[in-house]
Amino acid sequence: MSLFFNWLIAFSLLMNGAIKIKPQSKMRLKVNEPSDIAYTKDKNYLVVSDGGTLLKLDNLGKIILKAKQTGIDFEGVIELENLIYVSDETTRKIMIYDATTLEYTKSYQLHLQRASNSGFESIAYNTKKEKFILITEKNPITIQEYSKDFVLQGEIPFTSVRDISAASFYNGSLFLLSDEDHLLMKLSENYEIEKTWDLNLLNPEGFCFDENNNLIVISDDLEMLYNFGKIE
Amino acid sequence: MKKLILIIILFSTLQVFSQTQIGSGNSRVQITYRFSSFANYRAGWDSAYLDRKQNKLFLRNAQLLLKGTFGKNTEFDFGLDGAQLISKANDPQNPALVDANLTYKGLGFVDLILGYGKVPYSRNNFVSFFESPFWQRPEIVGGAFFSRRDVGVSFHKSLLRNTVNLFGGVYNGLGESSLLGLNDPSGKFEYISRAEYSYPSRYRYKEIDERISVIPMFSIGVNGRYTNKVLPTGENFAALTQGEFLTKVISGEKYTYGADAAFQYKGISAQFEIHQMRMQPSDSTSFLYNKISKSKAEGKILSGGFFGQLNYYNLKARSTVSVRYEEVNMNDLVPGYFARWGFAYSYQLKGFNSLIKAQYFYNQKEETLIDNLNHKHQFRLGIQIII
Repeated sequence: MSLFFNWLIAFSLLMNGAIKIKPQSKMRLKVNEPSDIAYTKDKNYLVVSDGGTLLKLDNLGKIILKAKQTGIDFEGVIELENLIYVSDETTRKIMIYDATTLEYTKSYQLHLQRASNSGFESIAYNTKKEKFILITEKNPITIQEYSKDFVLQGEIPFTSVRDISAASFYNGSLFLLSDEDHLLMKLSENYEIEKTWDLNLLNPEGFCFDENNNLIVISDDLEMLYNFGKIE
Repeated sequence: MKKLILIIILFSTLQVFSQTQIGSGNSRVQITYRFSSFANYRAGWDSAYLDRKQNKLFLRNAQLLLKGTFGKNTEFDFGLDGAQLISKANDPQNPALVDANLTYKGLGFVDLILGYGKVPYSRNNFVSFFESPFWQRPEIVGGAFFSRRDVGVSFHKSLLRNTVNLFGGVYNGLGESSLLGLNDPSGKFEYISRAEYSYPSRYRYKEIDERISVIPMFSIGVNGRYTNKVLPTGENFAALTQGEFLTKVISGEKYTYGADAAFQYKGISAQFEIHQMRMQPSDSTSFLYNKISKSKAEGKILSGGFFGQLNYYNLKARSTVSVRYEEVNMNDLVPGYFARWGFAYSYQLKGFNSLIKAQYFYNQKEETLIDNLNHKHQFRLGIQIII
């Protein structure tokens, strides 16, 4: 019972302390069930979908490139050192593509024993620690640290929200997004919550920050892209 | 009751993990175990009538579910309920075989489903019992009037960001009894179709707004089913096939049509469904006419009902409260009207994976010619676990 009260207090603090923000602009995406977004060096967007597709979109949302190699259930995407890393939640694979051509390069098979839809929902890279961060969606949420060749380095439970739908490193901090609680969180190096924003958005599944430090969020169910402007 | 409370306390202290997936890549199997048990108590008996046999503990579910894929395009579902395997009741709300079907997604334009599983009729039928705050489905959609599962071939097509869903299928028409190895002397199928539209996005098959929707969402659906099973002279349907009120499968034409609506916003959710059956027995002396001449009955018997349900989910309190009202008219030719209020409270120990559920039914009115409940009040208290 005490666990419940601890959770209740943590949750109340989390929700009550969240800064409510509203999108400044939005646009419809021509992508079925978009599940994550990343901003690229060439100032475009990478978008992955629940159907296992990887796409490059320009700033107007137009599809300019599509990867031939598909997966089952893409849920996380980042660009790093001319490569694109995609997390396929159902197959537990990390699929790697060339950042310029979206040609498939190789994949890593990870292992996680839990429900199909409770796999790695998000992927981020900590440049300071030189580690990939993979986060499971729920039941329970765990933050896992991996080396650059995807060897498990550590695992930390995260219990502050009901689920995690996306993750990204920005200005040296890890940011996490919760779909069910529609909450964006900024974490400390020890994975403690420092700041929260209430997005008041239906089904936010992915986010990134663009070159002007605008927060970009996509909604899976609505297939929309929202620009929230600068939040810090 | 003390034993039940003890069981609940024991389970509430468990660290419950969710389902497990075996395999990776394109060939995977997810294993899920679902358990539910409750105590049942009935009160307010009619004078000169008392039946305590239902005042006991029930093991409702002990299900082992396998859900998997092979290749990129084929999925399968298989589920068995150990609690129902030795039951002779063949309860359509809770059958021993939960699923045994294949879904092929390789065609691109539609998904094909082959085998035994839920039929695409009634929104409530798509909602898992384990995601309902109640211990029972509304009477009209509980499987006594029309089947909830059957053996058949069907298709599913989603359009416009999954806001439009279309379903159609051909089934044996014997419902859950299709598996009993009983022959159908009529040799005719049942045809079922459904269309639904949701706004502003896809609407998941859930009764509770567990995501606390930040914008109002609704979904509407219409569905119909038709069969014309005419028995040759001297032949009969097996008893279990025809259902509790002997109207589930009839000799003759049977049209069933219905509509439903669902809404959710900020933890409040509501569902409404209405259904009607039009039965035209092939035999003019059918018992369904209840000794009323076929001409006086205009050659048809109507049966139907509706329910409305309102729910409120409070995330901080981990609780859901629900109220439901339902009416059923079992046969328009004779008394068979029934009205019931239902109230439910559920508390999440660990989301819907570990839930305590309490339910109270008040049988407001019943005309007692067809189905005699003979009691006013029913209480249920129990727990469900998904591992």
